[in-house]
Amino acid sequence: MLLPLLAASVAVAVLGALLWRRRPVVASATTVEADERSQLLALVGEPILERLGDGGLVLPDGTSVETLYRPLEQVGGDFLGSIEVDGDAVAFIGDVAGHGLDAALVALRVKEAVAAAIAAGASLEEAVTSANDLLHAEVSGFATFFACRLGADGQLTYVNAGHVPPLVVEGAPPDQLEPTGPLLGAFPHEYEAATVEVAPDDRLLAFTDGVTEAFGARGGLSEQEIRRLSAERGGFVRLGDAVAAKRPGERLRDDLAAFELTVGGDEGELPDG
Amino acid sequence: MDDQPFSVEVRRQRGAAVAIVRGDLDLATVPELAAAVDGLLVGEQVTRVVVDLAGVDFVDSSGLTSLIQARRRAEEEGVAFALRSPTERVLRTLELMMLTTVFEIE
Repeated sequence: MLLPLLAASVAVAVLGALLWRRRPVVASATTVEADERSQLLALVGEPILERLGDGGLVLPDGTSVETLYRPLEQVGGDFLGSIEVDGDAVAFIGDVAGHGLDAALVALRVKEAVAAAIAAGASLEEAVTSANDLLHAEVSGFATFFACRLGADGQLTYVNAGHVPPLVVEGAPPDQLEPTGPLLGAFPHEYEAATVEVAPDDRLLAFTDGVTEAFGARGGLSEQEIRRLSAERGGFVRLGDAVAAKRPGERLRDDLAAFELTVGGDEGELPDG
Repeated sequence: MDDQPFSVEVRRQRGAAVAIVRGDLDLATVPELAAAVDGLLVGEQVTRVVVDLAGVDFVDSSGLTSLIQARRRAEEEGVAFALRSPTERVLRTLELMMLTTVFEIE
């Protein structure tokens, strides 16, 4: 699974380089060239989009991950993923600083690295620490990142690398999951995980700062608005439209990505003790 | 939009150079701050660079990463680097990214 993805990133990087080489012609740029460029971007963007987004996850016990992905341009720095590992649900979300193809390529590398490490048996903190090393030493990029793993024992383990705190919209305190380490790419750092106990039907909502105004982004939703919306049936699906509705007629200022993790199972299916 | 225009003003205070930033520090304005800090580092001898954020009430992820990069460049030149007087909102952003312990804040 990793090799085709890597091959795709290389192809995309080559195409990206070709696109940028077209730029020096700016002085003599014509509308035709601009059109060609946007057509090329659309061609390149589509396969990246498919890899940066995620279709969600449903496990046999009813645990589910629903996803929302709406980039600002054709491609952007937001990414998310969900995978099943040894019967556990793993979901993660990140936001690479910047927009466009450059940010998208960095996002793709981080997403692949984290997913491959976790699938190969690494703990969340190991996967996040190695993603930080990758960004800091090799790629020279920055990203906020949140990953969580729901075990069959009702424990939710998570690592939050400077990411806007996900909200526990249904469940016991804490009502949000604060950072456990700095954003990725800034400094060498050994990340640590934290754990909270969850019960069937608890819900966790994670998003990028395009959704919220927690980081001071203008036009985002407040925590109260997000909580109110999430409490409604089907509220999660309407999150993107709710952000757009805050500034009617204006372009969105940032990428949007979010996932909602719903804890499945009932008392009978959970292990004793 | 009634945002105040972005500006970076540089002042010397003994051995330190202070870059006074006003307006939103985001994707659009980051290059201006980076140029100002680079100018301070390659110009006359300074032992300390301070970025004054009292006039900034919005920093996005690009703005934050530009501050990290500025700190890194200063470190490479052997120059101390600090942030001054961040507003409550900017401080909250730094806290969210767990960067308050990393930056010297005066």
